Amino acid sequence: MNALASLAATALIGTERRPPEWPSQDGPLGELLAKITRDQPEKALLQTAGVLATCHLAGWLPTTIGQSTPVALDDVLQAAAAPTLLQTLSGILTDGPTRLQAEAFQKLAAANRTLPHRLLPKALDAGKRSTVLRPHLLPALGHRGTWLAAQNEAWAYAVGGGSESLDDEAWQNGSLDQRKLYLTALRPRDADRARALIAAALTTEGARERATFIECLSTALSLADQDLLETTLTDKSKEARQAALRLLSSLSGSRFMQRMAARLEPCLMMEKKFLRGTVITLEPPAVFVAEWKADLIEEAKPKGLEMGERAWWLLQLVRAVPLKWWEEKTSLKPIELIEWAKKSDWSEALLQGWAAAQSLQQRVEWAEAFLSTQIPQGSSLNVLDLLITLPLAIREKHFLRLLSAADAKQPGSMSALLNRFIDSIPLDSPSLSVDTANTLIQFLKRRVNSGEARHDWLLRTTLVELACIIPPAQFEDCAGGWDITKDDVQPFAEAIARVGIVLDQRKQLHSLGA
Amino acid sequence: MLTADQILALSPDDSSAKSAKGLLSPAKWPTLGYTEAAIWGECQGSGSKPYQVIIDVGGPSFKCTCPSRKFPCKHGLALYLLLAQKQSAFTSKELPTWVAEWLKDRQVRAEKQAEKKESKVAVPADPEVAAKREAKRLDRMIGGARDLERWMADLVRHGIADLPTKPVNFWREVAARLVDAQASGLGHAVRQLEATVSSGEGWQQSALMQMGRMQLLTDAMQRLDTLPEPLRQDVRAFAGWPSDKEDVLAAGDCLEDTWLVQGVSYDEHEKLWERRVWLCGLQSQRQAFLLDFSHGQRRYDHGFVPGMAVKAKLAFFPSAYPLRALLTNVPQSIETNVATSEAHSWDSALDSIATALGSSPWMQRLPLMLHGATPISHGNRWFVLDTDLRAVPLRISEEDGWQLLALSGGHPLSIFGEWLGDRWRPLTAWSVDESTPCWTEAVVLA
Repeated sequence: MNALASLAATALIGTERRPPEWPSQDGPLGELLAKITRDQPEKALLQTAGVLATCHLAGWLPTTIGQSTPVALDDVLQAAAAPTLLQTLSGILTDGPTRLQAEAFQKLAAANRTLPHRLLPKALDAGKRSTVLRPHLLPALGHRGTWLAAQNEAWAYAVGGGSESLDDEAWQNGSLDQRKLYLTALRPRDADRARALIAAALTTEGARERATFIECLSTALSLADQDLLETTLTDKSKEARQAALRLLSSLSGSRFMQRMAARLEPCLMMEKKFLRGTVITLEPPAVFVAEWKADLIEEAKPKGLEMGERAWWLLQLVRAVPLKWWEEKTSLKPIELIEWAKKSDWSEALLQGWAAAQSLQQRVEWAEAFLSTQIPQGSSLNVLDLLITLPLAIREKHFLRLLSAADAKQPGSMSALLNRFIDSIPLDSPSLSVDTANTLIQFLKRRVNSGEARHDWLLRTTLVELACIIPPAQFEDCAGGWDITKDDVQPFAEAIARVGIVLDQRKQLHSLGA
Repeated sequence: MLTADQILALSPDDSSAKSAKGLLSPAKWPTLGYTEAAIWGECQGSGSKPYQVIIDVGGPSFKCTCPSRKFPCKHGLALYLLLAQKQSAFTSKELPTWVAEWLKDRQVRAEKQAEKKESKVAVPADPEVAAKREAKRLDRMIGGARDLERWMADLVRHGIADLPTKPVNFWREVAARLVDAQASGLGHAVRQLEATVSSGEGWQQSALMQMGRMQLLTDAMQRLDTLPEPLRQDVRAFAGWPSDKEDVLAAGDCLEDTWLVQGVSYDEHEKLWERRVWLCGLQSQRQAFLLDFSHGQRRYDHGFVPGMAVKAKLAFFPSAYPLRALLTNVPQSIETNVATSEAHSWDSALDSIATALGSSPWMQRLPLMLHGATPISHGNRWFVLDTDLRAVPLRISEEDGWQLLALSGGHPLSIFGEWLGDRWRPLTAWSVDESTPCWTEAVVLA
């Protein structure tokens, strides 16, 4: 025990119960301590401790630890970021919307640059909070970013890979996010190799990994994948089975979809009636066939689903059958089929099944047909879900129509719809078209400047989100023309200022490549 | 001219910095201009008349006609930031009258103040009265020291085991009695002891070390007359009676030099902001710090930013190891490309700690510059390492730690900070061969 610790032990229980053990020291320190008179033990103890403490502090020396900091590889293309860019990026990471953060990362990567070093902790924290941000963040991290992430467990998702280069290291030792990124990058280049890697991994990896890897087949999906997917229908993990089911249901020409169509075939009847032409009738299966289970058709309907068992079986068949099959069988167009279904006894199962099939098969004609018709009251079909399956340009057109219809019916519902529409746009989508952006901006300006929107709280955040998808040509138009001097517009002053900041930041980002 | 980061560091709080960023559009500024000495602009606010904003680059000092009590206000910060971003927007080159007048007023005021100072120094107080007053106050302080000594002896006699369970009032009363005896330094030591006993594992030894050093101070108080003059001044200051400004100026330990701002640290205790500006003379290699207080928000006469250099004449407080100093004139910031003080080995840097404590044993905060220091996170704690893997433990926030590590990339940095006895608080870091700091401690703003 060192001298100070021994004195501390005495002080702890008190000198009246335990007399101090005076330290024996040689040299000048011993000589100094010897000068302390010990007739008052308390005072002497404190004086001794004081001398020892002062010497202890004055003679402080570092100890060695058996670990050193690894050295980061240099980022070859890293040019020092201009102070303004640094400030812009810092602002975006501090309180920018996620979509703007994603755009910043994309623009950096596209310009062959990486994040300034001082912003890496903030960026890695942002990726920790938002998984959708990660695929955009990873290519902008550079060597320094992955190096830093390796030293903090909370940032493990970013460890092992790095830029978009196909680093086998990322597949072998990377985090799940890294491996997913690797497969997604490999699929378009060498689909067979990616499939082989996945097939091998399925035998050794955990449930979460298996489901994630199967999902990765959705990039460059082809009939060559169907063997692996069919095997996965018997996987122990429900997530993996469901992922395989989804992919098989979107793979036209697959044996799976053919089997489903064959099961549906007997249900659909076409009768030529005198004077009434062909009458189409539908009769769902009356009994559940045991072998359907192999294709993951469930006998018991989920709790809360408002339809009968037979309708539930029908729905499962419909959503896995090519939409084209219906057109060929009945010689009807999508819009005609929908009108027929609405009148059918099984309309809910048919419409829901088609909507689900549409989201997998992405048939523009079907989505447009759905959007151009009145969806029955009380149906669980969601227009916005349908909208998402459309290519962005067509989606915008339909959205504007829905927006003005909703606005005419109930003015307050507009910002909720706009908000959900923006949410539905993936982070890596291009900006809105100039026309759509223009229409939206003018529309919103009218609503805000006239004071009609002053109680619309949601619109304040929605405006800022919208600023993140405005095309560069409209930046100026979007930033100005708000009548903030009016009292009615005052509640929007902060949101409009934020819009201005976001647009300034985006302008900076867009000049990066130039 | 400062960089954006340096400008934002002058912000009195977070919201000012944020609001300033919202004013960075030249459209909001009908007039913008600058010369080498001043920056000015008119900012359209909510009123009909635009606010007139001026910055004296030398200080930098800010002036704005807006009603905000923050200093500098968002307009001042925005104006400086705008210049850093978009110099092209500053089209006016001739000083408008309102700018010229303010600059002139400032100069006149500074001259008057200098005159006043001189005249004050010139008239000495009646030495006999002063000596009597001093003796009286010292008597009270020594009385307080005796009280403290008895209190500590009692604690040691009965045992200090139950100190962590003592109520707040137990400490407050003792500290208050010492403040009444005009020995606020001793009172402060008691409050520090309170913090130590509740610091968790190993508190017993830390508390005993602290009490031991307090004992040495009370001993010294009781034999002040026998101490050499500079140490006498130290003991007085540690007990709570630092020299008056006039005495410091009169003592005449003055030095004119170009001072590099090595680091600035801020601490807040019960809304009182304490700022220490650590300086190093480029010619003299002498170290110094300026201590300023500000209530409520960080509002100080002169803005100091790590990495900048100022020409100034400092007057040192008398001490056996003089560090604290006063400005005797208005500092002028000047361009410099000198990065840091001369490179020393870790050993000689650590020797300076021994020298300082050997001269003035109660010092709690010492300037320490370490070159070739690589940050590391080891077992959830932060250190810097030298090439022999010798580790100096840091007092640093998680956020700052990761940022420092990110900037280092595992390469050594030059770091300046405050040595706190067994921990080092980094304030400023430089990459090798860079004259502008790459990192400064983030201020936790109120």
